Amino acid sequence: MLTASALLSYLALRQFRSELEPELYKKGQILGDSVRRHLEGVLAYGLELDELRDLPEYLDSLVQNDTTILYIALTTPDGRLLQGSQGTPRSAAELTAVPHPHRHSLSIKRDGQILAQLHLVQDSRYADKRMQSIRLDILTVVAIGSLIAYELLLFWTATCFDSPIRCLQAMATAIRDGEYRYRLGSENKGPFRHLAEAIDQRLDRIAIGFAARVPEFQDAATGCRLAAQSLGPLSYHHPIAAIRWPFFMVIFSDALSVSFFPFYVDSLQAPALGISKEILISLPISLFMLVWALALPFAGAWSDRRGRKIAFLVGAGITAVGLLATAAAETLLSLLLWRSLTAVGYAIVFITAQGYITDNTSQENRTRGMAGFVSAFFGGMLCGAAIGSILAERLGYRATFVISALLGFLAALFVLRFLERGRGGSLRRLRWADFRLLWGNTRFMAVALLAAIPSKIALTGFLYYAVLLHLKAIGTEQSDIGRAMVAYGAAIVLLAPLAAGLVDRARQRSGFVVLGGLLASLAMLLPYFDQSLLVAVLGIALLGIGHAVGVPAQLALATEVSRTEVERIGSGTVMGLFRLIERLGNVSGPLLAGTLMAGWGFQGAILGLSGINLLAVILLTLLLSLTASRARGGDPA
Amino acid sequence: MLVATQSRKERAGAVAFRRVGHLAILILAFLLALISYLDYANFEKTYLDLIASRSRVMAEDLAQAVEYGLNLGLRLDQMTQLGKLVVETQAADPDILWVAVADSQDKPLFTAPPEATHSASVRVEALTKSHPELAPGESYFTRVRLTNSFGRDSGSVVIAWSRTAVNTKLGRVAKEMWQQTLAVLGLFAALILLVSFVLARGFDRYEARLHRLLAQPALALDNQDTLESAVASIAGETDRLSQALDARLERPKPVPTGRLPSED
Repeated sequence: MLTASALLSYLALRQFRSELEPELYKKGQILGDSVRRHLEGVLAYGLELDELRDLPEYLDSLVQNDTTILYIALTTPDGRLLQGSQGTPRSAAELTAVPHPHRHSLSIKRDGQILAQLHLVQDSRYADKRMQSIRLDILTVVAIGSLIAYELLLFWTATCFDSPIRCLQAMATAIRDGEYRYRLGSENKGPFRHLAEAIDQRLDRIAIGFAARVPEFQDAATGCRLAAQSLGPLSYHHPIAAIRWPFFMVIFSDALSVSFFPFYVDSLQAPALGISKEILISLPISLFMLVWALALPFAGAWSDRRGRKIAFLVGAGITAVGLLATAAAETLLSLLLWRSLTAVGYAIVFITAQGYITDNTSQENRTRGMAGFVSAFFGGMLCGAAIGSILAERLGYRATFVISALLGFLAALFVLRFLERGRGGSLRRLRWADFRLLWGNTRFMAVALLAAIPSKIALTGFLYYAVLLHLKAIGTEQSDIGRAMVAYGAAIVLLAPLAAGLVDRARQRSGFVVLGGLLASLAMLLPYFDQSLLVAVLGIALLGIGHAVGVPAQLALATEVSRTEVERIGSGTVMGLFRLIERLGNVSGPLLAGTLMAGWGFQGAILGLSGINLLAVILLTLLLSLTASRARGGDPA
Repeated sequence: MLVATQSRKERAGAVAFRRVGHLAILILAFLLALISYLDYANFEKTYLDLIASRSRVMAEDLAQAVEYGLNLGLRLDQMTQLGKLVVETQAADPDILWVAVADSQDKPLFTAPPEATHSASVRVEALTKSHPELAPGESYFTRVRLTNSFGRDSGSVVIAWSRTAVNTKLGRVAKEMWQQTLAVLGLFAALILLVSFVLARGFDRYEARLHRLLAQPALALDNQDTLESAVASIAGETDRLSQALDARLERPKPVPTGRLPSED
C-alpha cells in the first residue's frame, strides 16, 4: 500500500512539474514585462535608477505577493548588481547562473538605450512545494487506509482461519472425550471446508457401520457416544471479529463529520430565538448526546428482545437515514430533528455491539472482548475525523454526510451477510431503587460527578466544540483540523491499554483519576497562553493522555468504592448507572462551552472549562481523603 | 481402516486466498483513487491559481495605463491609444477570449476582438463580484475596477478566459492521472494476485498434509502445529474406535435397549 501510494505520488509530481512549468514560465514573462513597463514609465521622467528610493520596497512587495517568485533584481548592462528584493544573491554571477526557464531577463531602456537588466527569478521548486501541501493529506489517507485494511484483515483471518481451526480443535477434544456425535459441517469452514467434509465422512462411516442399528447409545467398552443422527455442525463464531468491522464502519461513518460539524451547523439558517450563535451551534451536539444517552436503556432492552442481528441492522439503517437527512437539512430545526434520529440509531448500534460481545464472551475473555470494542470505537473515531476533514475540504459538508450515510448502509449490509442471528442477552434492567442505592454511596457519587462528568465535559465541550471553532477562527485548514483531532484518538488508542494494565496492578486507583483530571485541566489551559495550531494540537494530545490515564481508572475506582452495591445489584447495573450519570457530561459539555464562549470568548471558555475540571479534581481528592477512613472502617477488605 | 476422501474439484484454500486478494485490491483501488483525486484537485487549484494571477497581472497592467490617462484628466472615450493596448493584451495569450474596457455604467468602450463586443456588453454588466471571478458560462473572468485620482469609480477592465481551453487542459491532465492510477493499480493488483496464488499453493500443500494425516493416522508429526495435532488426534481416535467397533461387530452381542448392563 505504501509502495503503491509512493509510486503514484511520484508519478503525479512528475506530471505536476511538466504541466505547471509552461504556465509558470508564462506567468514570469507577463510579470517581468509588467515590472519592466512600470520602471520604464518612471524612468521616462528623466530619473535615474539609483534615484528611485522606494525601488527595493516595490520589488519586495512584488515578491511577497507572489509565491512563484524567488526574487527580482536589477543589474547594470555590464553585469553589476544594482538593486534587488529580499532573497537576491549578493553577486550578479550567482544571479545569472540561474537556468533560463526560471530566470526572465529583460532590458530596461530609455530612448533606445539600455539602462539596466531586470532579472525575475522564479521558484524552480514551486510545483514540488504545491505537491508538499497535500503530502500530509496523502499520508493521512495511507495511514487510515492501512488501519481500515487491518480491520478487514482481522475479520478475514478470524472467520477464515481462526473459527474453523477452533472448530477442528473442539472436535478433537470432543472425540478424545468419546463424543462422536458432532459433525463439523462445511458451512463457515473457509479454506478447511474439504478437511471438515473428510472428517465428517469418516465419522459418518463409523456411525453408519455401527450406531445406525440403534438411534443412540453409549458403549461401555469403548467409552464412546455414537448416534445415527449427529448433534449438528460444530461452529465457532468469532464474537469480536464478527461485530468489530460493522461497528467500526458505523462509528467511522458518523465520525466523518466530527471535525466540521459546528461549521456545518453555523452554515444553516437559524431561527431568531434570541440565543447567541455560540449556544445555537452547540445545541445539535448536546441534543445528539442527550438523545443517545436517553435512548440507550430502551435500545438495550429492545436489542435484547429482538436479537442482535436485527437490532444492529435497524440501528445502522436509522443512523444512515439520519446522516442522509442531515446532509439535506436546510434549517437548524430540521438538523436538530435529524441528529436526534441519528442518535437513536447510534445508540442502538452502540448498545447492540456491546451486548453482542457480552453475549458471546465468558467472564474470562470479556475484558479482551471489550478491549476490542473500545479499540474499534476509537479506531473508527480517529479514522473518521481524519478522512472526513479531507473529504469535507474538497467535496463539501453535505457530500461528506452522504458518504457517511452510504457507509452506514454498507455496515447494515455487512451485518445482514455475516452476523449470526444470535439470541438476545438477559441483562438486568435498571431500576429507580438501584439509583437510590448508589446515591447513598458518597464515594461512588464523587467519582461519577467529580471525575466522570468533567471528563465528558472536556471531551464534548472542549474537543468537539470549542477547539474546533478556535482552530477555524485562527485560519486552520479543514484537513488540519481533522488531523489535530486525531491526536486525541491516537493518544487514547496508544496509551489506554498501557494505562489500563497499570491501573489493574495499582493499589491507589484514585491517584490515576486525579492525575488524569489534572492533565485534562492543563490540556485545556494550554491554548489560553498561546493560540497557535501547534499548542492546540498539544492541548488535544494532552487531553487524550489525561483521559487515557484517568478514564479506565474511573471505572475501576467506581467499582472498587461500590463493592457492597455490586454484591447486591451486580457490577453490570452499577456500571450502567455510572455510564448514565457520565453522559450528563456529554450533554452539558457543548452547551457549557457555548455559553462560556458567548460571554467571554474562546479564552474565557477554555479558562472556564479548565477551571471546572480543576475544581472537580480538588473536590474529588478532598472527598476521597475525608471518606477514606470511613470506607476502610466499613469495608475491612 | 477408514480412508478420507475428498473432492478436489474446487480448492477451498485458493478460493479463500483469492477472496482476500480481491479484498486487498479493492482497498488499494479505493486508496489510490482517493490519492489520485487529491493530486488532481491540488493540480486544478494550482493551475487555476496560476491563470488567475497571470490574468490579474495583465488586467492591472492595462488598468494602470488607463488610470494614467484618467489622472491626466482624459475621459475613457478620449483615449485613442487604448484600443491598441486592448488588442495587444488580447493577443498576448491564445486562451483569452476577449478584453474589454468599460465605463462606470458597465458599457464596454473598447473591446478586442471587435466581434466579442456584444458578449462583453452582456457579461460585464453581469459581473458584480470582485476578481478573479469564476462565473458561470463559457469563460473565467478577471475584473479590475478603474478609479481616477479622486478615488471615484471610472469603469473597469475585464479579461475573459476560455473556460473550454482551460477545461480541455484539465480534462487531459485528469485523464492522464487516471491512466497512471490504473497502471499502478494494475501493477500492484498483479503482485497481490501473485502473492495470494503463492500463499494458496502453500496452503494447499499444508491442507494436503492434513488430509494425509487423516488418511494415515500413524504418520509422524514433525512439528507442534496445534491444527496438525488436532487432525492427528481425530484420525488416531477415530481409527482406534473404528478398529474396536469392527472387532465388536465381528462378535456382536445383543444390545436390546441401547444400554449396556454395566450402565444400570
